[in-house]
Amino acid sequence: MCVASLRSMTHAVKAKKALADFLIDSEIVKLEPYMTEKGCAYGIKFDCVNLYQAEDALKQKSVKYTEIIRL
Amino acid sequence: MIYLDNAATTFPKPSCVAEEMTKCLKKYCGNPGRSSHKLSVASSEKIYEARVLLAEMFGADAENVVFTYNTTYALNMAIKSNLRYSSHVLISDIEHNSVIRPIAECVKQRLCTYSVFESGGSDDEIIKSIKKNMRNDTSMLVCTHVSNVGSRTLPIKKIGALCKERGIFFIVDGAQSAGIKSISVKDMNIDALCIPGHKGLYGPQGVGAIIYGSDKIGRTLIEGGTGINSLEMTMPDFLPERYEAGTLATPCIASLAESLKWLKTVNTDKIRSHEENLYTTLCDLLSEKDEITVYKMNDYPGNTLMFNVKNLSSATVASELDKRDICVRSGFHCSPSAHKLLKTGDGGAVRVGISVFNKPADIYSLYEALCDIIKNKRPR
Repeated sequence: MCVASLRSMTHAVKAKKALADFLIDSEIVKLEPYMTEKGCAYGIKFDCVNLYQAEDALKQKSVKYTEIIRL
Repeated sequence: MIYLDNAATTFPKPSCVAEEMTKCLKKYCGNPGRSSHKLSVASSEKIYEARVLLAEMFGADAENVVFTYNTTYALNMAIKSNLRYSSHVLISDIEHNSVIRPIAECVKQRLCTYSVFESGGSDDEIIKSIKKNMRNDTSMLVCTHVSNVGSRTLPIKKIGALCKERGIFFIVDGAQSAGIKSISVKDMNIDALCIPGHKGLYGPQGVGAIIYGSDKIGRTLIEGGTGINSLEMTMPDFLPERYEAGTLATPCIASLAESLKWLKTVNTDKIRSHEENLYTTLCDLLSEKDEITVYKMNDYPGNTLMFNVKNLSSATVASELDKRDICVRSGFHCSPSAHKLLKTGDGGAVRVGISVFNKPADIYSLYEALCDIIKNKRPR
């Protein structure tokens, strides 16, 4: 699975909707402490099979993400 | 009961508002943005839905919608977080205390100076008055879109263009216009639009918002938990979380989302036309009575009408109407300078605030009640 790390829950919900518009299933997750330096943060988890499509969806919908991590 | 105090808060609300509030409290009211469990995410998604609906209505990005408790909080935040210290601020001569008092406090603390521009006359005359009062150190202009005393409307698109040209931060008080007039923060160059949820948007009391025209950030007024960056000592440096410390009013925001959807089905142009028709009917009826003085700041209709009855205080008239099950508001409506312009600065006036739910029969009942009060000229 892949996780895109996002700045906040607001951006996580926006990201989830962006992926849904491209028919990509995703789930909002709280990031593990090792994934973030500043404390609590959120991300969206999706199947890495959809990685390129997901990147495209996030870009098209102007969702700013920090990075995408392969779990 | 006939409710005509809709400029203070609209009543009744569409049924979807109470239904969603109950549903939220019973089914999904987790703490938004604090966890990734189902109820927290459900609350967050509902709040995001409200952000998107407001963003669509006011021509902004969803992340630039910051929730507050009401317009007063929104105005205080927008003013105090973006005020450039030791600079000059411009306000109009019809501002509500929610603008006058924060500015007066900033002046008292020697953070800024301010001047007042005239809101009367044509658009060109208003712009001329603004230019006349502008200084080299003017950094902010704050004004109402529509006055809560008599519906005077300021040309905010033209003012926004001027502010953009001069690099002035432009804050609009949309307390009386949100949901009634078409507003686009981007098209009108508004830096911060401050709105209530409980007036023209027909949501519940307890929620307001600042709609930012850009994602440029200022100082914070309230600091605290945001559910993110918890190891940091400072607030996030991005919207909306920077200005949303503490738990949001999820049930209020959730039901606001429903009222916004309802509003889209009703159409704000039709609402405005309906309210203006009732205003005109009332204005014509009251103008015929020698014992009644109707106060107008402008020739065009609106949805709030001011009047007084000869030899009776506004408080007495409102009280007599209340005895006849008609709700209106008397006094100064938190807008002393607007009353001064109306020449009602001594005793205030009676204000009738019309909503989409009022019918012509309400207006005729009000007129008949006033005729009865005039006839009796004494409390019942």
